[in-house]
Amino acid sequence: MTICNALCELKNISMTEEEDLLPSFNENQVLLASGQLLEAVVILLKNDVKHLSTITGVYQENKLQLLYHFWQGEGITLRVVIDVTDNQVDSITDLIPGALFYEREIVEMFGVKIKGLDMATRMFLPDNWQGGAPMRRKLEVGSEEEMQEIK
Amino acid sequence: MIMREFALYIFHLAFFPGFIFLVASGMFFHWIDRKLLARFEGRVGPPWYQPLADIIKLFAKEDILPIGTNQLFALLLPLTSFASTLSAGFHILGTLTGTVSSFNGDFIMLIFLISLPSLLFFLGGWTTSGVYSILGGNRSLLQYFSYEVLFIMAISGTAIASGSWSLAGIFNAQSGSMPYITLQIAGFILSIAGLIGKLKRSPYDIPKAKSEMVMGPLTEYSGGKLALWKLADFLQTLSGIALIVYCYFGGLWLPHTAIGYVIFILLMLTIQFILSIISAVFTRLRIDQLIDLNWRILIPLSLIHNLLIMIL
Amino acid sequence: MSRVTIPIGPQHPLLKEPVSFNITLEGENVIDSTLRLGYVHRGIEKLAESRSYVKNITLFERVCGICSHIHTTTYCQAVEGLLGLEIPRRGSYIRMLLCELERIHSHLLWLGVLAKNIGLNTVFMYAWRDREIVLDLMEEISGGRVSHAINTIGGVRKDLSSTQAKKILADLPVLAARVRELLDIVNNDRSFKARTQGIGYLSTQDVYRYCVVGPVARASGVGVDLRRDAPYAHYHEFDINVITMQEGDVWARAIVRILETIESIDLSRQIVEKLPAGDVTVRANRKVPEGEFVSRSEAPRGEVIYFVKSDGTQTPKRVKVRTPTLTALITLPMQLEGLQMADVSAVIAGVDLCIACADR
Repeated sequence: MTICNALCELKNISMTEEEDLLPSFNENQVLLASGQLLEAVVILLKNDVKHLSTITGVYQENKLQLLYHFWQGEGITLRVVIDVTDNQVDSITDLIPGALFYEREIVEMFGVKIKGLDMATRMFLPDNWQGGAPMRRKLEVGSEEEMQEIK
Repeated sequence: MIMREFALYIFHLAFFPGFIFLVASGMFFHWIDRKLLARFEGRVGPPWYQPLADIIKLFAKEDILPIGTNQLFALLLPLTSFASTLSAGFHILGTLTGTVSSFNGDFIMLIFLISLPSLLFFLGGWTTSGVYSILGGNRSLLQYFSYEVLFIMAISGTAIASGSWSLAGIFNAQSGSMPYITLQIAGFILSIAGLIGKLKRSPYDIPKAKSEMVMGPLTEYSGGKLALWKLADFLQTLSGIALIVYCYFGGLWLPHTAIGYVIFILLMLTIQFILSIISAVFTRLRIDQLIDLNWRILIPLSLIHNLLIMIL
Repeated sequence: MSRVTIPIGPQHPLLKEPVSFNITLEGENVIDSTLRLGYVHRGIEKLAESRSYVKNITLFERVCGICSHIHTTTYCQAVEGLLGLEIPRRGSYIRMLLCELERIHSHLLWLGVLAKNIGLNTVFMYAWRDREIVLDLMEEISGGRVSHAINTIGGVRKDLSSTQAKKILADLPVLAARVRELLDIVNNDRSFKARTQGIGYLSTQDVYRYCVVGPVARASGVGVDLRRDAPYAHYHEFDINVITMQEGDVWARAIVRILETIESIDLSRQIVEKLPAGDVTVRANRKVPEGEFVSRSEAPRGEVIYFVKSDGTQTPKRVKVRTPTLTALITLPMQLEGLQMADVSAVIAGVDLCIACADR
């Protein structure tokens, strides 16, 4: 019930017209603009959907999709599409403190900046890592570049 | 004549009941402890030559210490611990076999010699400057102050009851009548508790607990110095157990006879068995629980016990 | 009182895997701690993008050593969902059997580690001796004690013969009797309770705020178990008993895990008794149609979530793994505050860290 209510409310604020362009997905999903993220999380919390499973980043053709996977009996995913160079996404750690590590990982691996998140130290990458955002690189299997990495 | 006496003297010091015999007995009791612990836990346990192999291996290892440690102290401390426990063991076993005569006040001397390594253990942590060593040393000092007092008070009950401060006097007071174990069972239990605290065995092994402070004060020692600390530990156990058997089971054996030695060794093995069981069954206590247990329960009990002895 | 900073890790006798805590002590109490991960970060998610779907099964098995089977199960479920495959019942039952055996194995290992950290070596030896029974069973079934390599896209690679089933049914009651003895110790032993009760407290509020999963959440009153609440494989055919405690400290977590072990032993017995006949695998295409799939399952430490995005070729576009240890790690500095130094080892062990999982 809670997911259905939340879904209905979210559909009101989402960009429903572009949803047909999304790939097939096995859970409920809502496409949002980056500025609507906090509003959507507030709606979810109001409808008793409290558990954030993880935040996934998908980098495709210079655009970064952030998927916020929630779960309460059923799954629901919030999808936000941003440009990598702008930092338009707010941090949701004020509402859900458990999102901290997931957001830090997105910042480190994809090179975005999330507003309101202070990255004093790195979490996964070494302190002296200079290589840029790891998840945005293109590596083919067996390529010269991949072999270089192994050396 | 003098040459013969001199040769006998060297024989007693070096072989029996001196250096070689004491070190071998210490290793033997340590092996019994490890084998018992292993069997309680469902394992097989090490073979009989394991402690000897460990000590020999340690002497063959490289001996390095961090920058900033006082090299002279780092050598003197384990050496002094070893020397003091060796002297204590020599005196007790010598009194048993008649090669050394017990003098008035040797009971107090023995207590001092057996407890000296615990103090030097703390200093050993202090001189090797490392976080784990210093913090481990602080806790071992706390434990030292508490459990030495308990041990001394508990075992002094026998001295008070016998009216003398010499081992021979304690022995003579028991050989006519019953051994003190029957009259002072509470004192016996308290001195076992004190001994566990002094030897830093589980459940009181915070200073040596690997999961807390790596190795405590001994973290930075290696090679020959660590071997000396371990030997001091073996001999401290041996001397502590021998002292308890002497004081509490006095009348049960006749001195200078073979049957007397056998009974003495059997009694020491029984006490080692008790110590191993207690190690296997309990968890390691926290430092505050340890101090709490000591000062709130054990020491008042030993006070009351000694008062009762003085009155009766 | 002066402040001292103790480094725990990356190498420390307390830790099984490298992670770095820097604990600041004032006197005997902890006032602050920092956490640093990344010592075993292997870039598995990025590596998965350049390998085929079948090769990725081998890759994801190595995310963690103790919960390897559940990772491959969840990944295969995601890919089978993208392909629209339905695996045969017998294959699904064999997957479930290994999941439950792995849960038993993981909890027994954890109990030994907790006992060792608080100084009770005897329980450590007993728990690991009993773990040998489970490891032998898993070796019977799959050929490997810890790393099974039994999952494939479309089912499992090996069938369970009737002799193996008989052996499982004969060994499980022996294991159950021994685990009940361990439960007796955890429930009644005064020195164990003295070292584990009252420390590492996590309230129900905090569980919701930090999105904690697994036995840590169940020990604080939040009774969520994905085997019952979002059944995967064929768990909907079984009656899952979800165990919750209200105390929220390290002792409650120990009780929850041991009771879960007993529950898993019973569940494994039911799975073997009800094993249906049939094939164990179904043929799967190499090219996976375009789409995205989210698959969740209940690992021994909590909820594991896999997100697989495919773009129609033979290699996935993006695979995202989130393992349950990461949720517990967020709360660890909070749990450590105010504790005495001696309790730090018990709390760190009580959370059941699997850093290889967290780092990937």
